[in-house]
Amino acid sequence: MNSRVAQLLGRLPWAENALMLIVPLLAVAVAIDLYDNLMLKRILIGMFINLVLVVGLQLFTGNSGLVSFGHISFMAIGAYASVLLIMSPAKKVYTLPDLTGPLSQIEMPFIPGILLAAAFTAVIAAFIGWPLMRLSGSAATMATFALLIITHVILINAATYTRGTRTMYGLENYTTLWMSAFWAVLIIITGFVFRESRVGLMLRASREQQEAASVMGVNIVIVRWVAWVVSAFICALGGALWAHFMMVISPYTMYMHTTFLTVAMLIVGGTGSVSGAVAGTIAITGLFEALRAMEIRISAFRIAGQTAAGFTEVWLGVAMILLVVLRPMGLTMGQEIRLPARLRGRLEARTPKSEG
Amino acid sequence: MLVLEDVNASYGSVVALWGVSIRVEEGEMVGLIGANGAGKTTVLSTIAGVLRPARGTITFGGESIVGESPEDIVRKGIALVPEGRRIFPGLTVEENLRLGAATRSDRLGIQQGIDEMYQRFPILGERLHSSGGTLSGGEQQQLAIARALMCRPKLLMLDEPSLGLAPKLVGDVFDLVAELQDTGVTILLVEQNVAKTLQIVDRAYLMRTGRIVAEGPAYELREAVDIKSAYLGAE
Repeated sequence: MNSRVAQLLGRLPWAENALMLIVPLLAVAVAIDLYDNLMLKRILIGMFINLVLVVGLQLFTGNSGLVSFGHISFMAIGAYASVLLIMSPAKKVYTLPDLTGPLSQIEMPFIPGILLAAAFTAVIAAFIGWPLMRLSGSAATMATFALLIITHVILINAATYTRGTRTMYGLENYTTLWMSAFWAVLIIITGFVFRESRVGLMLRASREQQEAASVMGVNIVIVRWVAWVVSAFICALGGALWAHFMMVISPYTMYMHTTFLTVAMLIVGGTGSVSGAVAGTIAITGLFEALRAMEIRISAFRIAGQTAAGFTEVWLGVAMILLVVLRPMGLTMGQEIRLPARLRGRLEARTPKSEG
Repeated sequence: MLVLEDVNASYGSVVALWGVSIRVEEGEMVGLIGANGAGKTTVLSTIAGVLRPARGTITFGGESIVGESPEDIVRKGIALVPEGRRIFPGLTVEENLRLGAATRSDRLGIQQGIDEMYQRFPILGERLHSSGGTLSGGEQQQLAIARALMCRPKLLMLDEPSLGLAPKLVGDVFDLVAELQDTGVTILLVEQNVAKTLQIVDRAYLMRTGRIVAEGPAYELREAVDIKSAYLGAE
């Protein structure tokens, strides 16, 4: 079996990096599934969904070098679209009484529903991205931020489809631990495949030397646009999974706070690699949950005579500043996680030489 | 093969080229020499489609290429090795080469091309998986040339390939360029190193402040008395 693994590693150089991320994640999922602690399970599902979002964001930001604050709008569109497609007509009568036409009658199974919702979001992203991908640097970042605000306002005002500012309820809990784990693993693999693909390579080249890439014959607008659409699809999937995990959504829960958290996860981990996106998601999730547990205990014991409201946010902010100061390139410094040197040496000794 | 006729080009309101006319015939190596700021790089940018000429015509193989996008011009067979090499430092040597073939889609041919480059530039084969930024200046120049050759150009334009290299390597680069001509590729070479350039090119154009001020076979230009003054920018 070892030689087969070695062969695979020879043919797909990124397979090693992907396995180093996926195997521990799945091991943790198995452990927590067996331990069967409801709170830990929920934390893990939340983390897997964040992995989908952050790796989706990395696919665009990491390869193109453009920072986007707009991807959570794709998460929100994906979430609402999936609810419209999946919720039973009987429930829609209560939650969306003004809804008419085919949308009020449709009831899709979960997986086809979230895929169609993501595809719908990708089409919207394709239209928005066509002009947007011509911008560079901070102009592009500001435009994506504007997109977040515009989407938010539209979601609030399209009350027929979204209930506006009121919470959308009545969703089924489809996003189980293994459902979220499946998508997280699939998206991590997608992140690697995209990076090594032709488009991914061209995009990374344009990030490093825009003019040189252009005279090589790389059409920068098109390769950026492809990454934008693919990452919008992935973030929409994340939103659809999240909606059917929380079972209640509102436009406020997929706005600034989530944007900040996902971008922070990516930057803390390191935008340059898929491993960075994964490491950042794990680190921030761990930190967030640890701080929250402390906040609850401090509040319970009334240390210093008062509750500790805001404790989590303040220390999360402090920790992020420290991380960014101490490791400006992110936890992974733009590198992928590799096998420990000893194990790698043993595998490579078995690899049949293919070059030469 | 390549004909520029009466080309003007400008950066915003600053005119950088005044009535530039250049011909490059198939199989030739033509030099474009002159001092820093004479407009040599601007000529290459204009041919490559990065800069659009304000006046004049550019034809390649009898077809006008004015207004075409840089990638269409690469597809037509014109490759540029940009000034300062501009390799992709964070990408591996192999990825750099694959990018040179960005306009090609024949997977097998691209792999063949990469193998050819490793034979011609053995040092690149040895450093296949190293990132481009870790190569030395001379190695980076080899990589930049190999990368440009990956699109199988009919015309290869080199912008100051000897710039910033150690004196010993400068000679190597000129030898390499001379060898390239023997493989049948047509070359337009931009250089400040006038003496070395005139040793290897067939013909040359001398530029000063955006104009062509002299042209002719290399041996004639070598003898022209005012080369030194043009090179130094003095009147």
